[in-house]
Amino acid sequence: MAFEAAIVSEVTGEAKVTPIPSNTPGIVGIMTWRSRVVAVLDLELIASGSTDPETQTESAPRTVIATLGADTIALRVQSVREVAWIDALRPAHVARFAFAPQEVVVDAEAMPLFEPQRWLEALEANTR
Amino acid sequence: MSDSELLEVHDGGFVCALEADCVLEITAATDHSGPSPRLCGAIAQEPPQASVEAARVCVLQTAAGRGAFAVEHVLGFVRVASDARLSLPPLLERHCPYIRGVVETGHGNALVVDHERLVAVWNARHGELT
Repeated sequence: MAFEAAIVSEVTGEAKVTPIPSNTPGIVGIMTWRSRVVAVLDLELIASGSTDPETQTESAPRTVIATLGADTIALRVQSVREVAWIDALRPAHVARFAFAPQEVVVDAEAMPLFEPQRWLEALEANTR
Repeated sequence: MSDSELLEVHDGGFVCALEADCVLEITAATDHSGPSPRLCGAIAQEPPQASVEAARVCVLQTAAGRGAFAVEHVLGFVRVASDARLSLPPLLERHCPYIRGVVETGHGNALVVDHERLVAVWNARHGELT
């Protein structure tokens, strides 16, 4: 999976997540980052639309801190590979991830481009 | 900066902090006769459960009325500085309306509960808890 590098503020180690009682899909808890509270997201849960904590990624040694307008979020991930220049985006060939309508090719490997802003917009639309 | 006292409780895998000034009584669940929803369920906006298994009931007195919420464990009272409290980001403010913020205690991060809103909404929906 790829993210747009411009939204990434920092990549840290494993997040010390404090769980919160919430039925919001994808949010597994909170963590403190630079003396601020940020929501921690799990991509497995977002992809599945599940609120069941059993579905979330078991091991997430890395945390990607991303800024989306006024919100800062933390994404639990298993590893971070590289920052790559992408010449072109293309529509996703396999629509297996709701918030990644496009994909990129890095080192001959196609991967979905996750757009967290779309997830955020969908979340807001569902709560109106 | 002034300190304030919080009552730390554990329920459903979550550590929550209640403003100590609002805590009227802590009783054993078996001694409490009135309805008492689980605190974590109420915060998560879940419907009331018919069967509640918890050890303690915290009776809260707020400007919005009285509320009684069941918890698994009462961890104790903690004193925290006002500048130790962190507010929630906009995303979480919108989706966790009963959590006012976060405070770091000896048990990690505790979720500071907005009692007044929780009691007001719960009582309006389900009747006042006694």
